[in-house]
Order: sequence, then structure tokens, then C-alpha cells
Amino acid sequence: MSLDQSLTPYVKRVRLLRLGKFVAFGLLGASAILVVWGVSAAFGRATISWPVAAGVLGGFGFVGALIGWLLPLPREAVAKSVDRRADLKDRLTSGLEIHDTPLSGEIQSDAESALGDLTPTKVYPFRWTGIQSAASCAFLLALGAVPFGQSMPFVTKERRAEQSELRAASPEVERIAKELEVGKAKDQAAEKKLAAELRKFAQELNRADLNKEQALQKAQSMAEQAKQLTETRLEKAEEKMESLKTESVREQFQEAGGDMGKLADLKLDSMQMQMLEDAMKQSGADQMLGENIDEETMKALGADNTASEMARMSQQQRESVAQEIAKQQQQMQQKMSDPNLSQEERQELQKQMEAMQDLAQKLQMSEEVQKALQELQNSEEFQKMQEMMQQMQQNMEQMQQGEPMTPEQMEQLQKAMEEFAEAIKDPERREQMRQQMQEMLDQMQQGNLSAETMQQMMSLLGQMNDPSAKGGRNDGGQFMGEGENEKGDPMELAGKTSPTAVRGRRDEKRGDEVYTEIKAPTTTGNRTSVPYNKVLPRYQKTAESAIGNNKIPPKHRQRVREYFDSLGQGK
Amino acid sequence: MSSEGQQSAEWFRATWGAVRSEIQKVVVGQDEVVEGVLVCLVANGHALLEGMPGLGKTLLVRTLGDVLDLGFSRIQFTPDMMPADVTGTSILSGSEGARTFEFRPGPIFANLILADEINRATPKTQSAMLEAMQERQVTAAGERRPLPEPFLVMATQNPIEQEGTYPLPEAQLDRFFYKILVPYPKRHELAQIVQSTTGTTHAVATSVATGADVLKAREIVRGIEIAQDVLNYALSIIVATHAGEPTTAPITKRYVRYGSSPRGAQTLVTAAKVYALLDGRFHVSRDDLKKAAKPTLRHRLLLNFEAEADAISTDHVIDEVIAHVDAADRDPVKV
Repeated sequence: MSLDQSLTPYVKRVRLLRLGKFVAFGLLGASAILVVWGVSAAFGRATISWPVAAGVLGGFGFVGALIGWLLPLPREAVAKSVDRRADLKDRLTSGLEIHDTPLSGEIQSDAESALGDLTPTKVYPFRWTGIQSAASCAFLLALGAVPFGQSMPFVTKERRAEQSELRAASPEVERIAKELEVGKAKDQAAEKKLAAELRKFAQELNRADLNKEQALQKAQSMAEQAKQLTETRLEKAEEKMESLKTESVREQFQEAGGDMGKLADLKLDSMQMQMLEDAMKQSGADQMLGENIDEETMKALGADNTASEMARMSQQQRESVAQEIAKQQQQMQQKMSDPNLSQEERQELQKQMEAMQDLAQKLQMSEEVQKALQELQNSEEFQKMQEMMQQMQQNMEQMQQGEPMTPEQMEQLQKAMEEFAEAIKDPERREQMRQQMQEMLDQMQQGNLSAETMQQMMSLLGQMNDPSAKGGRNDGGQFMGEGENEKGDPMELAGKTSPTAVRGRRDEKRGDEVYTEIKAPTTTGNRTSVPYNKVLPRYQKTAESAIGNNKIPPKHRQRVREYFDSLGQGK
Repeated sequence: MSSEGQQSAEWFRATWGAVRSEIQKVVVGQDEVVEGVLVCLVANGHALLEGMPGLGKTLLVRTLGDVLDLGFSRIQFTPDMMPADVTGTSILSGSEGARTFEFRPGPIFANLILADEINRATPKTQSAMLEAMQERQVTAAGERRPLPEPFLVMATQNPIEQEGTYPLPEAQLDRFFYKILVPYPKRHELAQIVQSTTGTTHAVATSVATGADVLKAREIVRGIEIAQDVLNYALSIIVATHAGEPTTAPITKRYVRYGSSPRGAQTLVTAAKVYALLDGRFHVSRDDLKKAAKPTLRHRLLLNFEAEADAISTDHVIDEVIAHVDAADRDPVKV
């Protein structure tokens, strides 16, 4: 066993004795504190209890023990100490330090043999020192200080009663502070601060080192603080909730797509708004919207509704709205029968009833349009026409990519056209279809048809008159271009593809600087499969060929070139 | 099984004991003086003996020469003595026409020198003597002549009769390894001295060691180790004799004009090594240093007038200094 290992028992012994010494220091300190505390309690300035006293003594003793055990203790110091105590004439110090010299072996063996005659307890015997005596005395004094402080010999009866009252209030304040700390607002700085103040206040109450009046003032002050904080938080929460609702509603409307997707464009008045909201809740639409829909959000959607948008609702939603309208009408009628109703209120109610009636009528009409369109779409002729159109579109795209139609495709197309012609050759059936279309157009004129439905119908009407045309026919028999309504104004097509913006001059009168943005002219909802940059060179070549063949007036040639150049820059 | 180191140490102690017992056959008492002289011998130093006349200083040196079978010479210093009287001189020798200078070695060319009453010589002669002590060689007629090894000078000076003397300067005192105080013999020792010197029989010391043994012992002494902590203690003692240091002992501040030189530290440690070896250890301890402190430092501390006025001796100052250093060098473990 090396000298270093031989010293280990001595090191442990020293740590143990030092632990005892530091525990005594800790107890001495704790006792001193408890004596002062007990005296303060005796004068009513503080409260003292056995658990607290035990905690203070234990805590200080434990800390002392930790310090005593963990303080650094170099082996060189222990060696020197043992040398001195056992009069080993620096054998351990030299043995521990001197290595790798001709005589180091002799020195170390000499040291080990000297240490062999000793034991740790002999070198470091336990001695009852002054510090231990002082700690014991102080400990006894502290034990006496607890009952002395609890008896409060220097406190009046009134003050004692007041203190007990204050102490009784402490747990309640403590509870509030705790709730505030563990609640949802625990991460908020202001709430934290308030909770800390409450806890401090609870401690003050528990110590009862303030009088009743002071406690009440403080409690009032904190209550005021809490009230202000609550109001502030409420305002912020409302703002945030509104913001969240609006955002959420918009996002969910857009995600929902389909019929409800366009609700974001609706313009409803407040009553219709409320009605719709209630109906949605009943029909389950509220689940889609979440619980975030509120009046303000719906107002944000607009205040001027058109019943045509109702046509986009599902059958279930429509029924729910209709039920709600009926319910509202019934309630209004009940209100009208109230004799106490003032003249102004009656007029207002009358207006609301008229609006409700109008809404119900529009809802009914939109339902008819849906039915008519559904019948049309289910008809054999319509389906054949759609098949033919799809085939033609595919062939067109194929040709645009520079691939001519194969004989098989030509044959299929011809066959599809023949089948369609066969389907509508019956004049009665053709007349029936036209009437259905006309009926839907009437509805559209009254504003009861959605843009999408209208677009479908336009397409259908145009195809019935000229299958190769993509536009439709207006009521006057005039063909409308794609992207125009019946008045000839540009309008957005409601396809499912992403719109592609193309810039160009609208007409010559407006000059070169004026451009009109045209949405992607798709009505079928299919995205084109030909990349823009692949077809552009061919179109450009065709345009140049047209310029070269004098097919374009000279004054417009430069503009055509610039147009294609601008398209080329955007590649 | 004893190692080489242990064997050397045992030989050292045995030789030391034999030499000492042989000396004590002739020299009665004076144990500390004998030990001090032997320490100087094995530490390769010189001793300054201070005591009254007739205390056996010459007898000690002569006996030591007999025991170690070494050459001995005695120089009685007087004010008219010249350096050549000590170191030797060149004289003309040979017949007419073939005369040459021949060097006649002085009394210093011996292994053991007793420089009796060295303070009575003039500084010039003292200087020649002390130069030989330090350099262990003599320069005469432009030629350097080494002195024999081992070489030990024991100078004596009389503490009384200071009139007409030339006290050794501090720089020259510093060259002495030890200053040994030769006390009066105790009563029983005196009786023994009287008995042994006034009768018909005289004790004779025999040779038990040689000069080579002394040189070997010196090598063994130099091999003794000293731990850094113990060395720090030695340095603390030396530094505590310096008046201007922060760790100076209070008594130093009051009574010491000049403290120990670095040679004092060297001497202290070397002497402590001899004591450690004599104690059967291979390392120096604090006790060894304490034991060597007085003979090492007492001629190296120059006290001021106040100390003289208060009758403070250097030994007292050294005791106080050691107490001061011990107080600072406490037990590092307080339990």
C-alpha cells in the first residue's frame, strides 16, 4: 500500500471531525437566529413555531455538515498535520513529496513504517472543544426561545386577537397567489409580479407584523391592481380572439373550397349574418368554421349579400338556413303581436321581416336553379357533350405541343360528335334543354346564380350553339367572349386553376401605358399541361410570320413585337 | 534487506560514533563542541570556536587529527604575524651559481588547522587566512598551491581581552560554517579532567577513520533530501532575520541590524542534513533545521546597539525568530 493510500483513513477522520466542528458552527448560528426570533415573537414582532425552529436548526446544521465534509483537504496538509501531531519529523511530508531520487524509496518506506505505528483516532482524537460547548449552550437557549416566543408575554390581548385575525387571512391570500402562479397566466410578467406580491402579503399576514388597518389598505391596493390587470388582460384577449377568429375564418373558408369557400366574398347584413351563423351551427358548418365565427368576423365578410351566393351552399346548409329564416320570421311575428311595441320598433321589425322574406325568396330561387342545373348535368346529351369537349381539348393541347392528331384520335372525335348530334337531333329534346338554359339565365339576371354556375351555363350554351367556341351566348343571342359577362365587362372566371396574369394593352385609345390584368381563362378547372416557355417561341414565330406576310397593320407591328419581347423576358 | 543508502547511512553513523567516542576518551565533556566540529568536518566547513582560554580547544583539534589520522597544525595569531607566516614563503636555496627559490609551505598546509586567537592578527593576515579557508588554495610567488583535503580550520577567539585585537569583519565571519561556543566544563567533567591530566596515565586516542572516510561522509551528506515544505521552513527562518521583510520577526525589527546571508541558508540546510543522517533519516526535518540554527546563524546576525544595551544575545534572537516562524507554520488541519 502506498503512502498516499495509507493516508486515506486519516483524511476521512479529519473530514469527520471537521464535519462535527462545522455542524457545531451551524447550530451556533441557527441558535443565535432562533433566540433573536424568539425574543421578537415575544414582543409580537414575529411568529415562531417548532417546525420552523427545527427547520432552521436542521438547515444550518446540514449546511455546516456539508461545508465540513466538502471543504478541500489536500493530502499534503494531512501529511504535514500528522507529522506535527505524531512528531514524525516530517517523514510523511517528505515521503509524499520526494520521488524519483536515489533515497526516495528509503524515505517512503521510512514514512510508511512510521505511519504503521499510528491510528487515525490516536492522531486525531475527538475533543470536546469550545465551539461544541458554545453550540450546545446556544442550542438549549434556542429550544427555550421557542416557547418563550410563542407565549408572547409582552403582547396585549387586543394585539393578539388582531394578529390571530391577520394570520387567519393568510392562507386565503396564499391560495389566491398559488392559483395565480399555477394558472394559465403564470408566464405573464405582470401576473407573476402580482402573485409574488400576494405571497409576500400572505407572509406578512402570517407574521402579523402589520396592523389591521395597514393590512386592509394593502389588500385594497392589491385588489385594485388585480382589477386593472384583469381589465387589461380582457381587452388584450378580446383583441387577440377577434384577430384569431378573423384569420381562422378566412383561412378555413379558403381551405374548405367548394360551396362554402366563397362565403368569404359574401356581403351580408347583420341579421342575415346572425341567421346564417345560427344555421351553420345547426347544420354542422360551425365545425368547419370552428368556434371562431362571430358577428364581427361576419361583418368583415361584407354587408351587401347577394342571394346568388346561396346557390353555392350545400343542400344541408341551405335547409338549415331556410329553417333558421323560418324560425326568425316566426319570432318576428310574435314580436309584432306585442302591443307594447313602439311605432319605431314596429317599423324596424317590419323592415327586418321584409328583408327576411326577401332572403327566403332568394334562397328558394337558388334552390330551383340548382335543381335545374342538376337535371341538365344528369342528362345524356350533356354528358356526351362533355365527353366530346374533353376529347377536343385534349386534341387541341396535343396539337399545341406540335403533335398532330392521330387517325385514331380523329376517328374517336368524329364518333363522339356523331353521338352528340344523334342525342340532340330530337327537336323537342333540344327545345327542352334550351328552356332549361333560359330558365337559369333568368335566375342569373335576377342575381340568384353564382358566378361558377353561370360560367358553366355560359359554356354549355355556347357549346350548344357552336361546339368549337369556348364562350357563351347572352340573352340577346350575342356570343360573349371568355372572361366577359353578359354586359361585355371583363370578369374573373372561377376555375380551380391558379390564375395566370398576362399583361397587354386593352385598346388603342387608352395608350401604351394602360394594361389590363386578365385572369386565367379556364372554365373547366384543369391546369394546362404545356409549359408557357415551350409554346412561346412557336407563337412568336407565328406572329413574326404574320408580320412578314403583311397580315398585321404596319402601325401595330412594333407593338406586337414588343409584346412578345416582354413575354420572352419573363421566362 | 538493507539498501545501499541504508548501508551508507549505517556506515556513516558507525564511523561518526567511533570517531566521537575516541575523541571523548581524551576530551572530557564538550559534547556539543565535539559534535559541532564533526558537523563542520563532514559538511566541508570551518568552525569558529569562541571560549575562554584553557577549555581544550587545542586538545580537541589534536585529538581529532589523531583519530582521523590527519595532519594537524596550530597557528597562534599575533599582531605582528604576516600572511606569509601562514601561507608559506619562497626562500633561496641551492649552492652558489645554482640558487633557486624554493617554496616553504606555511602551517596552513595541513588537514586540520587550529587558528588560535585569530582576532589578534592584523586584517591583512586574517584576510590571507580566510582566503585560504574559502578557496582551499594558496597563491604564493605567483603560483597557486592547493591545500590538502579534507581541510578544516578551527579558529578561536577570546570573548574577553578585546583591547589590541582586530575583530573579524562580518564578511569574513560569514565564511565560517559554524560558530561554536565553548562553555566551561561542568563540575563532574572538570573533576574528570583534573583526574585524567594530573595522574600518571594519559588517555590516548587511536585512529579509527581516515581522510578518505571524511570525504566519503561528505558525499553521503549531500545525498540527503529535503522536502520543499521543509526547505520553505528553512527559508522562512533566514528571511525572518532580515529586518526589511514583511515576515520579519518582531525581535528582528528591534534588535537586528543585518540578517543572515544566503550562505547562512546553505549552511543551515547542509548542517541539517548531517543531523538528519545522524538521526537515521534520509530527509531533513524541521527539528534538524532548528538544531542547526544557532551555530549557523549566531555569527551571521549583526545586532544593533539597542540589543547590546538590552543585553540581547544572538542566540536569544534566533530562538525568537524560530518561535515566530513556528507560529506562522501552523498545523494546516484544524479539527
